[in-house]
Amino acid sequence: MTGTDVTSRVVQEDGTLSDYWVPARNAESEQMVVNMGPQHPATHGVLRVTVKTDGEVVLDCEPMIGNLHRCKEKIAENLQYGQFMPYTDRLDYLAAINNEEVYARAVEKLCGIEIPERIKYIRTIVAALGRVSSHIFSIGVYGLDIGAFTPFLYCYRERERANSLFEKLTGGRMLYHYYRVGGVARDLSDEWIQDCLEFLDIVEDKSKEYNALTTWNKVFKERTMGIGILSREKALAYGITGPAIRASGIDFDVRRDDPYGIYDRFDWKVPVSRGEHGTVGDCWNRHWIRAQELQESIGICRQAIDKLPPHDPKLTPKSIYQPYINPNVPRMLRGPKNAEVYVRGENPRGELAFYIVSDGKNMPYRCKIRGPAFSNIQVLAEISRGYLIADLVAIIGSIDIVLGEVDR
Amino acid sequence: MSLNDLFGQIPGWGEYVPSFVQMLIIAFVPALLVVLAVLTPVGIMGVYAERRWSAFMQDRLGPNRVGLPIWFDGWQRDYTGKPWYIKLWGLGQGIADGVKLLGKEDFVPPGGDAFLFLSAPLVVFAGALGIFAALPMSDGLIAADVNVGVFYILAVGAVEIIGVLMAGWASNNKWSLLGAMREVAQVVAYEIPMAMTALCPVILVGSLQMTEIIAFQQGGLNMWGIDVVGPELAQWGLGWNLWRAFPVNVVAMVIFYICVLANLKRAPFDLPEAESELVSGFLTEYSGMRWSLFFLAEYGAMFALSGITATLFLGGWGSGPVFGALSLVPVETIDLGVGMLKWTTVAGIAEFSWKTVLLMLLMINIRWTLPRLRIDQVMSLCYKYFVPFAMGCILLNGLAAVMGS
Amino acid sequence: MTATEISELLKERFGDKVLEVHEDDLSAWTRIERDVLVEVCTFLRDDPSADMKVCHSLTAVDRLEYFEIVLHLYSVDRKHGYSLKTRTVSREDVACPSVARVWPTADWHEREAYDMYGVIFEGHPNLRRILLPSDWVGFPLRKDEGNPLEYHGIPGIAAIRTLEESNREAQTAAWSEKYDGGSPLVLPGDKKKKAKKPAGGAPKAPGAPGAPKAPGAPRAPGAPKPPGAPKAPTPPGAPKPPSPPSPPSPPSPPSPPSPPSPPSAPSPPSPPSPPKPPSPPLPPGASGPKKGDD
Repeated sequence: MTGTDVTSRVVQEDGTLSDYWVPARNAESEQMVVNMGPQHPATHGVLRVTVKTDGEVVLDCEPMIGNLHRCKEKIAENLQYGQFMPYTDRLDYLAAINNEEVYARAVEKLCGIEIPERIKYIRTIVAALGRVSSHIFSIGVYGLDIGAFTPFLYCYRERERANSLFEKLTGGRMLYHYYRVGGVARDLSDEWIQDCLEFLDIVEDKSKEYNALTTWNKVFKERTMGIGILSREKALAYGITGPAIRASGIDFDVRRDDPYGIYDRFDWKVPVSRGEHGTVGDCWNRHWIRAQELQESIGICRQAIDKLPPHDPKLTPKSIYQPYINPNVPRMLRGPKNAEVYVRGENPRGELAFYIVSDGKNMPYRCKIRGPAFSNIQVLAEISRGYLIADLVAIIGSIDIVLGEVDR
Repeated sequence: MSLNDLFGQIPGWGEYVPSFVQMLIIAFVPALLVVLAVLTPVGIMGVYAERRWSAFMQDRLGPNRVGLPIWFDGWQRDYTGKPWYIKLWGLGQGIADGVKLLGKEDFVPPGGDAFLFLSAPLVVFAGALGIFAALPMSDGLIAADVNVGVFYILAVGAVEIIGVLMAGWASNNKWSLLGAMREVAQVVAYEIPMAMTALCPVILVGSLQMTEIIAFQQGGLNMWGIDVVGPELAQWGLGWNLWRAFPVNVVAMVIFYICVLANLKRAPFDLPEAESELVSGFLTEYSGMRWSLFFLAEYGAMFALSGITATLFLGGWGSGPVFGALSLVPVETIDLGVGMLKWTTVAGIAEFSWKTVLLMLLMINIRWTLPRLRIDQVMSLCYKYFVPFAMGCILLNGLAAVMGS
Repeated sequence: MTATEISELLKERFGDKVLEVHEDDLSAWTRIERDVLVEVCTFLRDDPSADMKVCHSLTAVDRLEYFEIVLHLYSVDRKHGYSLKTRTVSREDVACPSVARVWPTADWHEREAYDMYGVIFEGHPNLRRILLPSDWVGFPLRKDEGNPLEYHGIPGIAAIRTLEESNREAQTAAWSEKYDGGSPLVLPGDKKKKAKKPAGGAPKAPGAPGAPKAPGAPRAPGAPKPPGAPKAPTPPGAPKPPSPPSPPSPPSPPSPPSPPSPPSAPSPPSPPSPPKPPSPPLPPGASGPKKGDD
């Protein structure tokens, strides 16, 4: 085949299989460097991976990033706090609403702004919806990476509905600019809530279809189980976050363990891989965690809608041009002198964090964006050595990166 | 009436046309007819069927609805501004694609081997075309009824590998080369169980000739030495090779059909052109008509190999529900009024068509349902499962042939 | 473990190498001597009570005299976080020990900090640019770093602004020549100029083209447009702005002693104000909509 004995693997002392396929010693083979990307269909954007291969076996690979770099941190230093909000949409553009939430929380913490109760619920609903929409997309695209085209279109059908829902609320289908410091752009209408509930019912129904076509499909399982195993230690050392770390068996979710918002008022659980199927930390488990989180987010969204407090007349905006925010938010936001905050939140792809240093002006002195995908993609070389090129595609897909966030 | 007689009616054919030119014309004209009359429509209809069927499966609007837009000002009376269009149930997509492909540049990648690159699609196309020569489509509708039909089909079908390897090598692209190597590994491997399972009916029939195989399946069914079905009922399809040596040939047919899928590089075996892995595999650098030649060849081969599957295991054009139903009516008395056209030809076309189309639709259905396998899984499926099972099938068929008929 | 306990732990272990301990309700961090960074990090990672297995983020901050390296650490099992700071000697001596061998994730974060600030992480296995192209000159996030004028023939933003400005001037001149002074094409810039002229009384010769703004200059903070200034009557050729059924309430009058901030957008009332509804065209002779006069 490729001059290598791909069926043998090394069993380590602790009984686990190592990640390495062992090249056969007797076959002479030539190494080749293949450039995967930035216009490769499976690199999810403009990621470029230089792959050193022996036939089809990946000997080493290195992700080359930066093709989408826009120096957002520099932009943040030159914009007022509120003005940077739409730029955060462009970080993880598949879950734009969740980025906004983290940034809004960071600025609110810095400036000491309280959030009214109803807005807390609205934010939870919208963030959960963003997570649903993002995970639908991830599941579908992962099917596409493995070679199944149909689940992608099924998932996209539902994502289109989510986009329409967001469009109705925010005016944007992909990039929303819905959050404001101290609130959101506008209140939820009853009609929108009805639409949202309807959408959640549809997704809950259709997610069985997705799972049938991807998660429980025999070929899909064969392709993803036991591939790209990310051990617990490696996951911690590489700062992996989000579904990937939960797939490695680490029971950690910022929403629960470093609590923010009102997630403690709802009944939900953090899906963690315990090795019921496949190997802990493999591609299939990362996918399965996402599929489970989809269900959990639907539950959170429903509960938040159930408990949504009534509209507070004090919050009524003076005109339609004014956002739906805490009326006590000053018009000019100024951070305190010599202060800094590090605020993180659970995004669909991991923990997004904003590190804002303030020098008392109306613009951040330093705004560091810690994108989850930036840390997650770093481990690619570590977990893909020794697998085939087809597995490399599966691994990239299971890490689920968005290049807007990697390159920032 | 033979072709010699047909051409002999041309005035001056015998006197003025040299004999070797006569031979060439007689050799090439049927081939040309096959291309024009069968392969091109089959390719186009295959593309259409695939797109429409997948559009039904996937809730896609485009290939399901596209018609021809009409943007003449006088006709555009719709105040919403939508152009009027002729509804064509998605046929417009194929037309638009064809126009687009014709308009594309015939591109040779810099550093590539231009001769190999440009001739590779022709070789692939020739391979697909060659199968049609021995494909019995109905009574008398077979271009060349060679006495080594099955062997010929297996041999000609393998020509495609050379074309794909040429395409991959000449593209000067690592993804293309990887795709071509995958193709070679995969198709050469799957030739083995495919040939072995094709031998199963051959052992029962005792001949490699296609017409013999069809005629044999019209006869009564002898299962393990016991006469189960007489020739009367066998017309309904009970004499198919599928039912002979009963459970064995069902397995053989499944293996043969999966090997056909692998040889056609269709999902879940589409590794040579795996879009998400190898960009487009050996097709990466192709564009325009050369690219579409590969696809015409693929759909042509899909049709042909479905037909071969139907012939080997499902009675071909010769027996089945259509013939069974017609046996109830005294159709022999019907005179069609055309000298060459027998009633069995017409019924045979119907019989052949439904089987082939059904097998093709199954291929399309499988393609749009399953994810792609990995190369080592493809290989282990072939060598670890199919080859031993196919060997068992051959042995049991030999036993059945000894015991029965 | 709280932040206080961790800083106590560090003080106990490293003594005077711990230079500064900071704790308020926004953040808690400890600044340590640069030389012991790797030791401290290894200690924090391996110490069972600290258990900082995760390096969440590593970045640099330009403090003008020096660069500050900030590490955000976290313990997944014990669920506490902590920040560690150290600083380079000066802007010139930008060395800092690398912790990429302590946490592999610091590899890319340090490369990014090098890319953006030029901090040299000593002992880093592969200190190259990561986000910017390898032939980029300069470190963009340094406070003294300007906009590049050009990169491989691609004009920088300053050059683009100059180009746009000159194009607009030329275009406006051509239009006014063709249409006898009244340009049918009202560019956003023209509108502003016309509105500005009577209000601010910018002394300009009537025929002379508007003085071009300094290319590449930030939005001129010196001359904010007085809100509520009377609009110049629209030129006859200009497309009329759509008139709403009733004149909308004017934007909040800028009374100097600012009342308790009204509930409105957090966006400040500085020049780049949110888009206002266009004022209706005024009948000739009528005074402007409520002036912001005192």
